Amino acid sequence: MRIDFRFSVAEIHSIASVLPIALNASTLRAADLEQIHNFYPREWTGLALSSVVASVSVARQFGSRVGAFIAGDSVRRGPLGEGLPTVEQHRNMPPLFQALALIDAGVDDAYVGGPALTDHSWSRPGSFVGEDLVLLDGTAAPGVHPAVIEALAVPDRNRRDAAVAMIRLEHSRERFAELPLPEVGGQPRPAGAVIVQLASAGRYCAEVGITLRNLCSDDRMAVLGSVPMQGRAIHASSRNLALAML
Amino acid sequence: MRLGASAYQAHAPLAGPTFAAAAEAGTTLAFTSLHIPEDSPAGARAAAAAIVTSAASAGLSVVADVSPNPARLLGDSP
Repeated sequence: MRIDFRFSVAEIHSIASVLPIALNASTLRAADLEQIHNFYPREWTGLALSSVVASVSVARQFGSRVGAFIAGDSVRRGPLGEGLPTVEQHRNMPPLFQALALIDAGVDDAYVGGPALTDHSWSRPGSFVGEDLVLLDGTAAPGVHPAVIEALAVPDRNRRDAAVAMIRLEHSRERFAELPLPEVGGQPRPAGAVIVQLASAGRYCAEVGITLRNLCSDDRMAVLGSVPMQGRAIHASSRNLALAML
Repeated sequence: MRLGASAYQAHAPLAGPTFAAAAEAGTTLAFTSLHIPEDSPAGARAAAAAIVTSAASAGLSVVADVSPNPARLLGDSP
């Protein structure tokens, strides 16, 4: 039976319970529909992110939205208390990184599955959704000048031509040029190191970056601190970033 | 992207503070599940009503996960 129009959703459901139905492809407002993934309370039972990507691709064919869950980081619901994520690799990640990975997968709505987050943990995905700003919490290296730490907290963005091995803050050269940068470079650069180019880097002097993988030390660069680097979702082209370094 | 926050019968006292903090941060959706096996059927209806009320007072739209059993528990007869 093809449902043309003037039936309520309840009536359509009652018809569908006894007869196979077809809906009106010309008038169905598929964007009103949402497909929401399960969350997986037991460790190692969550989905691969690639499964979520595939589900988004199917949902898009019908124009519907996709929701998925991110694990909380404070109170975890029993009986297992192992978090309520959709994607297994997200189970112990900070909520912000989970939300970023889901949005990169094409997910429209991210539900925190757990019954609570700290106010701080709400604020980070909140900044992203509300202001399109990824605010990363990091640790400053000893001796970094407070003016430099303050400048790191000012929103900047990754370059449009995103580099494969590091985030390059687009406006950092002009913003950091006059600041009291460290005098000595050459520190180790593990993934997540916040680095600044020194005078010996020539015209690249004062450019600030965040390494996405372990890179060998370089005397032309000093490490200003580090941010957690779980997953690669923060390095999208032109992504707005600010660093809150303690 | 829209953000959602969750509340459950087993953590009913967290619903109000969680929804308030979430809404303050820009969250617009609320989620609850009405068919968690460990939840007690007694008081399920009142717990669900309290969760929906908390969400509504924080300005959140509610998504409730259901199956036929909780629908009957809550007074429906599908």
